[in-house]
Amino acid sequence: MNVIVCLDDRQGMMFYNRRQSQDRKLRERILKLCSGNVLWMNAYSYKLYAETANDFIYVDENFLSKAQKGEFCLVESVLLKPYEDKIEQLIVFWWNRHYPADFYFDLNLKDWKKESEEEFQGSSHDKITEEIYTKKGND
Amino acid sequence: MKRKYYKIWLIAALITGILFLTSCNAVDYSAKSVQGAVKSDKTVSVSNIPEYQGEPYVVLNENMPMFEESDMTQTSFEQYSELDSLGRCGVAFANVGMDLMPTEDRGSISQIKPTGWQSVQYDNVDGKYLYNRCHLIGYQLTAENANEKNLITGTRYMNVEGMLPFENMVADYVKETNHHVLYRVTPIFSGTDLVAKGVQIEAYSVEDRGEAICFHVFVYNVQPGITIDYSTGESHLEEAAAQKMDSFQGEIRGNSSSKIYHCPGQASYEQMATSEHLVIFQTEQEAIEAGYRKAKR
Repeated sequence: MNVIVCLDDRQGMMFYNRRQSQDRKLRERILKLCSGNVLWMNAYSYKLYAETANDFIYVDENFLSKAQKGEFCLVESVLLKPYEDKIEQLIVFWWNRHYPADFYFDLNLKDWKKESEEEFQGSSHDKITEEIYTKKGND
Repeated sequence: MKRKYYKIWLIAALITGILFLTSCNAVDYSAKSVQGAVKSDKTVSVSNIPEYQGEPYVVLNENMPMFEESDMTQTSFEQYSELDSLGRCGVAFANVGMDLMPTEDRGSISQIKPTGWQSVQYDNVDGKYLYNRCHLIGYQLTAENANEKNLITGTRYMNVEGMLPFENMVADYVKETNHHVLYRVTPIFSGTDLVAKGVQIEAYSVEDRGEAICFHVFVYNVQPGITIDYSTGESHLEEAAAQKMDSFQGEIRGNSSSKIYHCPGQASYEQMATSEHLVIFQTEQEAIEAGYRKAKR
């Protein structure tokens, strides 16, 4: 599976059960990225994506267990370490901002190889950076 | 008759005095609460805020702000308290909307000298200056420049590590949704101190009833490694921090070709000693100001 996360400067993801930030253009980019493939998420995340009504979005609280090879998972509020072996690709969107956090990304990016990096302007964020990682040793 | 009026005047003066002192030290939770939110009878005061434990902020009242239902409006506003008799700021309260947010770069605020202000530098402080003129409600939220009712003496640490992340979260949410966020910042002073012990920040997104933004925190006005006398703003380096700085041996070695500097112990530090591009700095800050960046390894 391919995992998508959004992180702040300190690799934070949530504060007190709420996402740190959101961006309409980023959502469009994620949907485009997954277009034609399954995108898994939980009910909390789906609230943001419900308006787009894409039939390739699957909603399930145990989505990381159910996702198959090649499918995408949007992860906002779940620890990833137990699923690390299943992950083929990590897609990290950096807000390039510092937000409050009490829930953090729990994988070590040093264990992953950065394949690409691209910056773009969001709808409310001046600069969002997209980085794509694959597992080291997969060459 | 005159004696009776004197007694009434004395009682009124006593009540006013008590109210003044409590308004500086405490915020009554029970009087302010979002309907449906967790209510609390607790009162925020210097005495019941947990000691600083190494984190820049602590969550209060299970993170529930204490706004009143009548505050919930889709009209932007901003209110700043009059300075008290000591010249200290009070509560700053806004309903942040796009119409309040800045449309130009921030102007100078250096002409404002908040209570307890001292211009003092330490090598172990980011940017060296211990104190910043801290906006109670950040410029990015209500575009207030040199408003003396909105600026307090705050440490660099409180400003950048404590308050800024919350301001960022609110500002980006308002920009993204064009919604409103109730945002209240209360500086908490002890007695007649001139420097606040910290600030209480409450926020709540109006249109979605707190689904996206809802927090209630206390941000500590501290600077790791430095002791502050809150009554005056005077400060000194803590012994442990001073010893750590004294034990720091060795110059910073910059490479004038790559504009990268190396600290003792870093991978290319020894190698740089004989480099034809060697430039020596006494501190990292000196190197940064000269346009160098630190080596990654």
